[in-house]
Amino acid sequence: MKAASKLQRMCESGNFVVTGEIGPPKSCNGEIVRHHAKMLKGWCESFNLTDNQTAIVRLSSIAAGKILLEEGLEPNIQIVCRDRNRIAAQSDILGASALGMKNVLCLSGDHQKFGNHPTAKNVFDVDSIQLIQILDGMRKGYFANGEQMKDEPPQLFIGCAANPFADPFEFRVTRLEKKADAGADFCQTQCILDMERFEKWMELVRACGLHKRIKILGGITPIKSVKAAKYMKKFVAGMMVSDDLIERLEKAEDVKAEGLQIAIEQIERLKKMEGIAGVHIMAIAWEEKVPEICQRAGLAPRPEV
Amino acid sequence: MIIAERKPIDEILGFLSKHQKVLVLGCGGCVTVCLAGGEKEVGILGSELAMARSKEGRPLEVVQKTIERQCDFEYLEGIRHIVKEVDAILSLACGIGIQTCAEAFPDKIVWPGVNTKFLGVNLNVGVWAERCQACGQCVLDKTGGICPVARCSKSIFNGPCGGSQNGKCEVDPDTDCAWALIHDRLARLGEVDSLREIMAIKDWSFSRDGGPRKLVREDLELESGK
Amino acid sequence: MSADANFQPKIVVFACENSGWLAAEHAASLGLSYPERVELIKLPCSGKIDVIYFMKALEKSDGTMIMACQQENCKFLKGNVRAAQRVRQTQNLLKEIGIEEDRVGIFYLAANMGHKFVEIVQNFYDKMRELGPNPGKVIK
Repeated sequence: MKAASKLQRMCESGNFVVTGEIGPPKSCNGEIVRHHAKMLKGWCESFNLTDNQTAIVRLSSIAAGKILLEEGLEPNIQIVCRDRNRIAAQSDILGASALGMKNVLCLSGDHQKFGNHPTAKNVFDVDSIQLIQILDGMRKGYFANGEQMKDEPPQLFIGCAANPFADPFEFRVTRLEKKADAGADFCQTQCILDMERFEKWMELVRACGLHKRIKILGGITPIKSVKAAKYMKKFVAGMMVSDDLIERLEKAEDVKAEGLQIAIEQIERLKKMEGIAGVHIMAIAWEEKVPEICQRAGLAPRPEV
Repeated sequence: MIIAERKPIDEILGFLSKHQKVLVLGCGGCVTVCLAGGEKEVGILGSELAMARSKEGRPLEVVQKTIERQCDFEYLEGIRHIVKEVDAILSLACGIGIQTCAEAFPDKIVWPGVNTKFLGVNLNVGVWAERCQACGQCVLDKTGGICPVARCSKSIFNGPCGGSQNGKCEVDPDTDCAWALIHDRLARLGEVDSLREIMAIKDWSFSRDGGPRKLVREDLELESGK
Repeated sequence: MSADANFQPKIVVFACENSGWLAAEHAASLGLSYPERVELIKLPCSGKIDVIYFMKALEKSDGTMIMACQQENCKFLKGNVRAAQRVRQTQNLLKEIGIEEDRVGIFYLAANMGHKFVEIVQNFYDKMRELGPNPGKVIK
């Protein structure tokens, strides 16, 4: 049996977990991925590599994952149901595993209407929960059709997304329960820009003991500008931005500094929140700030496991 | 009902540009109900085409006929004598009718006068919305009578996804989130607990993914010819 | 398009029997005259007008109109509202094939408006003279 991934070991150790994110480029220039990898090495257990995020064609998650491995970082690859049927998804998992990847996130994927190829056919052969089931079956040695795999099965640490800010509110916890039932080991939430709502959700999570079945990483995104915050509030589906947060940014002299400060305060709060296993830092277009955030939030250096 | 919409007039005029005498053929079925290809629409389109061609100085003779429906060969037999006398047929039936027409009259060009859009419900005068994808294995028993295949933009079976907000789909603020509807309907029926179970992966081979479908009811088949 | 001195437009007037038709009779009783080649067709209500009637009329004429009761006065409540909608539908079709939308219209009046009747018809006639012959006329 191969060693478990660093992320898995950290989750099982009970230490506060930190994951990051790298968005692959809209080109075949792997050096961009390499550059980010070098900049972020050591600051997080592992790094998400998004899969054609917002339905825009980008360098593939698994390919970017390979570059990360070459640089000594651990990737969290992503598979979206929008683009791959069960045949392609399973094939990609076999390939990713062969290349040394272990952490996989199963996501629905933004509808292609948002992206740069809106006329494409959307796949959705299986949904994210069913994909988690498939991956769980694979690590036990079975393909989706029940056929037994030859050789050692892939070792996988399965992740998913959770959105406490979408509707219907009462159902969001049930949906995460289903993901845990399906075999998900960890989940990363949508970025928290409304702490009150997030805490309400965590109450429901704790009430059904879900935090004990699945490791929950709170999503944190430092906001760079008031405009960005307002845009997310109005135009991004499934995102909630509290008026307090916007007000705080509006009143600040140095909005960027304030944005970072807010993110650090949020991480501090998550560290003390019951049921939270860690944090997932998504510094969109601001990856260079991740080291500073980790330092100021007391997350560095990462413990050895 | 099958919902169709007349094609842009320039496209239709383009189809007919080489002809001098055409049959504009309507259908008494779905396209009559959705006001795209019934007797009235045949009359209006026929007039419009004649006027457009007159304006060009290249007159078009338009024969107008609407039959019970174009998806049964029997009704098409009845117009064989008319078809003989025209250069081409412009069918305003749905894609099924247009194809059946083409099959019944293989030596005559059959042009499609409408775009067949979807299977849907009539919500109000002039407003129709998609409801069914003919996936071949109905699951409406599990979802309170609301279809996740047709009404969820991602055809999710364990929804809603993270883009559902205020009961609306991320794709269009006017589109209801099907899973919000399903959740609310089942709650109303006292059945919301059933959503705790994971709905199994779909067998898409019953849908169009498995290839063009055919249904044979052996109990109904006649021995002597069809 | 300059008016050809000899061009006499053919016009089809659909008249609601509660307004336009009676106004025409009123005009006749007053001895008023209006252009020739105006065909009058009686409808029980302006709401009876349909796109197909306008189209058939335009196959053989240069312009057509529906005369309806004034707003809020339709005996059948919404007939004149429907009529206005059908005029718009017809205008959309004409626009599609490059024929002037002004060749179809809706005009409102009451039963006792003989003068108004003539005014409407004359104005429309003049407008058609200005537009010239209907290029979409279908000659059989």
